[in-house]
Amino acid sequence: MEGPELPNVTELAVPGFILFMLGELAVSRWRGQRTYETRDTLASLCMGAGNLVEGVLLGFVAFGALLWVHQRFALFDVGWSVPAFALCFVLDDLRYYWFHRISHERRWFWASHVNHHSSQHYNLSTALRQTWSGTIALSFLFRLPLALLGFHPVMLAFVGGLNLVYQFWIHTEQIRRFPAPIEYVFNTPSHHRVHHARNPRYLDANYAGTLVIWDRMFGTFVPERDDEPCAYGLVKNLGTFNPLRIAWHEWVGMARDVVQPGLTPRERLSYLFGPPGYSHDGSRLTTRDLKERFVRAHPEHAGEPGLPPLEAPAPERVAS
Amino acid sequence: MALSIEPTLLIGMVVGGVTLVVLTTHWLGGSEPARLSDADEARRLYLADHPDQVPADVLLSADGSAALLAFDAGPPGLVYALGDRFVARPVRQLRTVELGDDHLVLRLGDFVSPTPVRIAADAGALARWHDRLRPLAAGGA
Repeated sequence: MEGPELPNVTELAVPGFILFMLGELAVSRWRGQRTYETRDTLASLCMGAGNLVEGVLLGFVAFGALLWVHQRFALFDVGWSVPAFALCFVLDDLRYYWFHRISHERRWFWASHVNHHSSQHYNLSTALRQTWSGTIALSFLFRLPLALLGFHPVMLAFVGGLNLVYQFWIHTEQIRRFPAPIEYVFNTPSHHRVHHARNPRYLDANYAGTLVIWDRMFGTFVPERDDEPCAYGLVKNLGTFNPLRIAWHEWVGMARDVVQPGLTPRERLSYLFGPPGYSHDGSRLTTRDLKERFVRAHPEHAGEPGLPPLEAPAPERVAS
Repeated sequence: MALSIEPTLLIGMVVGGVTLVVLTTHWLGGSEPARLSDADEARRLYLADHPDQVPADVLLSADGSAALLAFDAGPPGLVYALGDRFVARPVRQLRTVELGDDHLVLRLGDFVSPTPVRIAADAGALARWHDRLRPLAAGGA
């Protein structure tokens, strides 16, 4: 099934990206804020450029796989109508939610995604700090169900590009909040600031691409609090602006963990597919550990959005 | 197939755009490094990442670019400037630690912290910290 030619929206948005970054720089300067750092910005933009190069060099792998599945096994002929595009956008946004969530909850995909969270700044350049290893991580597999349903890979690439461009403008501290109905339905700067924050209550929350309703539906929504400003970056922040180290550090760490001697096969698999922060000897902390530690230190916040309840004391064993 | 921008034009836009944004950031003061104002700030920054520890002793670099923290138990800690922000690390292992007349240079054995950290202070404090850190360095006694 041949389809129409569709624009590569990510490439077409490049001039807009540049203009909006310059605008944000000017506004933040006017407000007396320091939201950009030179080497951090350079690193982010190099990551963005590298992501474009990865798309050129390896994009055919994902596209070819999706096309092969679509041409042989598609269940329906969805076509190219406007409602088909709209449905594709919404379903792809749902696909993005789960892909993004798993990218935070499983180390294999986190290794590819972590670089996007590696800046301690939150500005429009951070949006462009994109992965170089998406194809290696096989991230495109998450699009297979849609290709199988009958959405053409060209349409999937188009709506995926729209989603990515939508997410650019929400990487800013210059917009506080929108009216409640907009904040309820759409992913906004406020919601996404939470997603990029390393405060324990904000970890692993707000995975949305365009529609934040998915987080509300699946229980991962955490609102931004005025009394707890977002601190950006990683739980263990990187001490480098080198794009090569930023792009590959988690893969290197994962490889070192997996090959260390004396592990059981299950432990090796857990270093690959367990949660980030997993360690066979309990020497590291996962998101869950960090949240529980925070609640133990601040029991008055237990049970609030993003935080677990205080652990009940273990029941006493009664001899039978 | 997708309608794309002509490759040379795209490369030109990306290179030109990156250059323009980075130079503007620098021009607007984006290259000014972070500096620790005092030992309390170093403590606060370290505890934000490692709240279970209580620093007993802090060595603040004379230029405020870094600080070493000692604890009653466990490895020492390091806070150092990275651009206009700070990074906090427990120092479990060092590649090298070098003692100069008025400074100490630490190289962390850490893939994501490749840059040497320089701490300037008085000779007595540096010698004390050098003794404390030397066993953590590769081949250290």
